Amino acid sequence: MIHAIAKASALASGLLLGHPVLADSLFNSEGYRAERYRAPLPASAPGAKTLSAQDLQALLAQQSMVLLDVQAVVVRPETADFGIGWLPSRERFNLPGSIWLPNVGYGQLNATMRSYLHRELLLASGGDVDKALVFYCVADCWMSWNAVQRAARLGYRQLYWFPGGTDSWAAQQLPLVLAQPRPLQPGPLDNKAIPQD
Amino acid sequence: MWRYLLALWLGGMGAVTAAAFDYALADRLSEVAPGVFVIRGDQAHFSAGNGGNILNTGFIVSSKGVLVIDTGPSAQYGEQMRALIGEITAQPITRVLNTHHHPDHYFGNQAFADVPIAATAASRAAMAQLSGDYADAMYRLVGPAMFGTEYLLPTETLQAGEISLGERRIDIKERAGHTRSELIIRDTDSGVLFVGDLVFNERAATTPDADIARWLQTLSELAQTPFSQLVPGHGPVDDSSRSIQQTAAYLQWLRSFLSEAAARGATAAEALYQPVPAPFDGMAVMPEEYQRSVHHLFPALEQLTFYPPLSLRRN
Repeated sequence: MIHAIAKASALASGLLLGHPVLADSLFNSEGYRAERYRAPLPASAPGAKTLSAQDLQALLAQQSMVLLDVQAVVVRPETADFGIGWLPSRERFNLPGSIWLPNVGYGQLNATMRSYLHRELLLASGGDVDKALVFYCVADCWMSWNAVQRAARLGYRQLYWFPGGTDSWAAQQLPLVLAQPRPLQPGPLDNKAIPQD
Repeated sequence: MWRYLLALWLGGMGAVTAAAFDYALADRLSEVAPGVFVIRGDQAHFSAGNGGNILNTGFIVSSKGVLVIDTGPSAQYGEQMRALIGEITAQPITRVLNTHHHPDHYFGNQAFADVPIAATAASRAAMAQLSGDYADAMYRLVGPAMFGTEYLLPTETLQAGEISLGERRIDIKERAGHTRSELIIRDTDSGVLFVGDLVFNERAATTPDADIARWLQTLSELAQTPFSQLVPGHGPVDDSSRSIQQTAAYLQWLRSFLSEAAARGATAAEALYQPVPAPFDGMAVMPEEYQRSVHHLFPALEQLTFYPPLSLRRN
């Protein structure tokens, strides 16, 4: 038995050594990208359809879609003097009509951030799991890749990933508008209702 | 999971389309000696406008291949540099050298993935440790020109000594100062000396990893080294030792100015807003580079003033 385990683990580590760049270091056990968020992206995200700027523009002309910008900003933690809040270091311009949910694309979310994402998606979709949701940030950014998979695990079924984000939207000369992140509220409203991801 | 991700990765690289950035490298190219080329960057800090092209790269052409010296700040720079070399010569690129571990000098390596890429052991170690953070920072500072950049680390360890490039002899030295390990590359026939970021010409030196005492030693040695043309990492090619003296003078001033400020009890914030005196105020990227140097150097100088090592204390 011990021999079998040793053999299996040697095999596994051999396989991993053969492919040094990937899973181990960059992705966590849940499959989310957990570091080096700015790097070239794969062609697709599991559970979502990939859109180019032109694809998205065409779809928006046909149907109602919720645009979700997940571009990260610095978060100010709650202290005795100040509530939790966003500290954007510069102005952010995103697609008109978007809802900006910073930081929900990190590899690991704490209870506050899981609650924030859950609540904001409920509000944005009106509780309809078949509402079309489009996730994006900027080009070569893995945060939208993470976030769209989180939405899939929360039960949403009409998911789109726009990997080019505001950069490729701007490159098509399409309009961007000054954005405000949706405010954070301290603590989960109801921990039990929120799925652990 | 990892197997799935690997398949995904290999299957889909480069899927995102964003507008290409044109570095216009042909307009920046000069042949400083027969077969020895320099591609000049802007005298600026990283920005979306310059695509991170703030450095000089180079290449040396022989009858048996091309040696590339640094690869620029992004995959797109590397690709455009390689295409430009292809317009100059039909010779294959046989080797790439990275002069030190700062990202503007090796983030174009990706375009030379089929060629041996060499750096010193110390540079390779620093790159292995820091590239992920550099990538995040470069995307943040430079934006769209970075698209498609997945840094590629050197594949070979470079030793000091002579390397041959067809009929040419290239002399390689390793010295410390600007970082722990910098290459000095001399094409012995033409006498052209590539000194990487040991010398900044008409531009304030960068100091995030600097050891100023060792840097000044290296510059004294460089001033004794014969050359026909000196190619600094940043700024115009120099046919005299003026840029060496200028870099040394600036570093000496920087060290004594900040040491004196620390000694009289100034805070880093006060030091930050001191005006930079002539002639240093006329250098490119001033006062921003001075202010960055305050961040880099002041804490250690403060430490030295208030808590000198036992050997320096007068009891």
